[in-house]
Amino acid sequence: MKIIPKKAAVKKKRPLRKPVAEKSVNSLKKTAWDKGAYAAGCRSVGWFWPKSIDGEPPENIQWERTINVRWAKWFGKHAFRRVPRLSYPLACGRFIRGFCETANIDISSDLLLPTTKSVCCVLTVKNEAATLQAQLNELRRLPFEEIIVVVNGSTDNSYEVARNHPVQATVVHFDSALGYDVGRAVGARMSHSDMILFLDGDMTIRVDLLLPFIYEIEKGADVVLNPISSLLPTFERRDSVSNIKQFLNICLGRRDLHADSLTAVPHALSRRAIEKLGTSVLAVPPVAQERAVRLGLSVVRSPVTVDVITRNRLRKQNVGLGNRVEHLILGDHLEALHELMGNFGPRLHFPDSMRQRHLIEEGADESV
Amino acid sequence: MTNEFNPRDPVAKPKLSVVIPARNESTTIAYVIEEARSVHPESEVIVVVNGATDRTAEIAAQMGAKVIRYSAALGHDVGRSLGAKEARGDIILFLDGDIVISTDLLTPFVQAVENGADVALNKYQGRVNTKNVHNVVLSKRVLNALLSSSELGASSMTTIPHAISRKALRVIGCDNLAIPPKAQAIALTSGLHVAQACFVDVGKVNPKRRKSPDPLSQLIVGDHLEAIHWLFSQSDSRANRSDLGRQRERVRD
Repeated sequence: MKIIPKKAAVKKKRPLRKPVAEKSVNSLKKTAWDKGAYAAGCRSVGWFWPKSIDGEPPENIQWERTINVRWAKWFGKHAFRRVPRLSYPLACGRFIRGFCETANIDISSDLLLPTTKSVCCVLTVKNEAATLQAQLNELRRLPFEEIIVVVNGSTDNSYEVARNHPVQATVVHFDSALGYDVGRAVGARMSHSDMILFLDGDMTIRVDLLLPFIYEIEKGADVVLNPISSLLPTFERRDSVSNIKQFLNICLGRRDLHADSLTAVPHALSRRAIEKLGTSVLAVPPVAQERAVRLGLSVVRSPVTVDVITRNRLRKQNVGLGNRVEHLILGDHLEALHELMGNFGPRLHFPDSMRQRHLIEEGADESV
Repeated sequence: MTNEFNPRDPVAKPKLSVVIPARNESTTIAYVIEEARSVHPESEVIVVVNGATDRTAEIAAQMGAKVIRYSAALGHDVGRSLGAKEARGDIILFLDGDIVISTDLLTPFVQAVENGADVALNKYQGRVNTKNVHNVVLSKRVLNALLSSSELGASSMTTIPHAISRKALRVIGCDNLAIPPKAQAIALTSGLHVAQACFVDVGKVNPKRRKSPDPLSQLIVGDHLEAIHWLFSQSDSRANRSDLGRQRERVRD
């Protein structure tokens, strides 16, 4: 457990909204669930490693993974609908403390994954050394199976930062820029994990915001989108990119997804999704989304929004490249619609049963 | 195309043709015709009566309009197509038999075409001050954006009133007027001058649609998809939009 000095505790900003949702979602008896985490951590040690006589831990064990598997099993017993926002980090901390003190070891993570499956993080980076460093520091807090950094077209020290970071990421380097979203496909291709989280190097996302994405997949989803629609303004002030995202979802028969899209990070894919979709299609995210829905994968929105609009990647692009990126994304969605029409015809599931089109060619009954 | 000036007709070629598809509109049709006729001194009014069981056709004929009659219901916007075929004016104004719009509000559409526009649209945008936008409004806006005409917002040939020039009619083709978004796509891609003429609040008078899924809005979304499909047929699967140098060949399955 970290001990926060008093000064820092005073300075710390209070959250704008009080988290009340947690209590209403989970039943009342679960509110004290995190109190048992320390004891559970202690107990977990004995399950696989009866304390040896001299008290020295056995070597050649991946402690992070081991603790995580124990934790995920214990956490899974509570059958939460969502990852409890406040109590989850507390419980993780207690569990780790209990485990480490009993087993007499030390680990670098201070959070644990809500799943026994292996999780991979794919980061695409192009001249983003500063934010990359911060993001990798964040990722170190969770015991990921793999972290894959795809560095492309970088002229700064992004590669060195990724290479030298203690998180021991797998780094792929391309001299030339791969183009939008191709890095995601490259990263996904290299991964062997049960689920993949996609991030961008140009922003730092707090790692606890990623947990709901992972938990949704753990519960059986294949594609988890970042629900940024909730951050959008009223319709009259929306941009054409948001509009076409929403339009594609309506065409897919998924109005409930609003304007959420694989174009936005972070998002998560299950191994099943990767196998069904293939990795190359991830380079054109709307097409991947179209295929995911069409092939019957479970596409859901994460319960927690990661605000990528205000601090943001879009703004940066809109200033410089603006129109060009907009056209790229419009083109991507057109590609998705084109594929959809190839499968279901030009009108998809919006039939025209009323129009007597043949009458346009023929004449009238009578003219007066 | 068969809709050129008909020399057998004794009447001189009118400047304006007003096309009004109507079904059972006997309560409103007389007012619609009256308002429409006052827009321009040299005008003809064409009422396309289809699937009517009341006196709509008789009333229209009494008012001096040219009536084209179909016993079966034509379905949405097909009447526009058939009416436009009969139109002889330089400007064609499209209305609906169930919505009475005063002459003052119709004149700007005709004037816009007289002043050089090929297609003059209603500025009506639908309900936009909301986070939960209607499928129809969204479709209109998306199509305009895809046609690189975001400045038109949700203005669409689906909405009445709108007026087109003879040139626009020739470029678009009468048949395509039955699928208004497709007509709009053709107009915008072939470089016709499409302008917003005037704001007419048709949302207030349109009947409230409560059924879900509302068949009409499903139809209109489908129309927009058809327009996008036409766009594909004219270009490629990205409608000629750049990839910004994506190296897709780097990843193969």
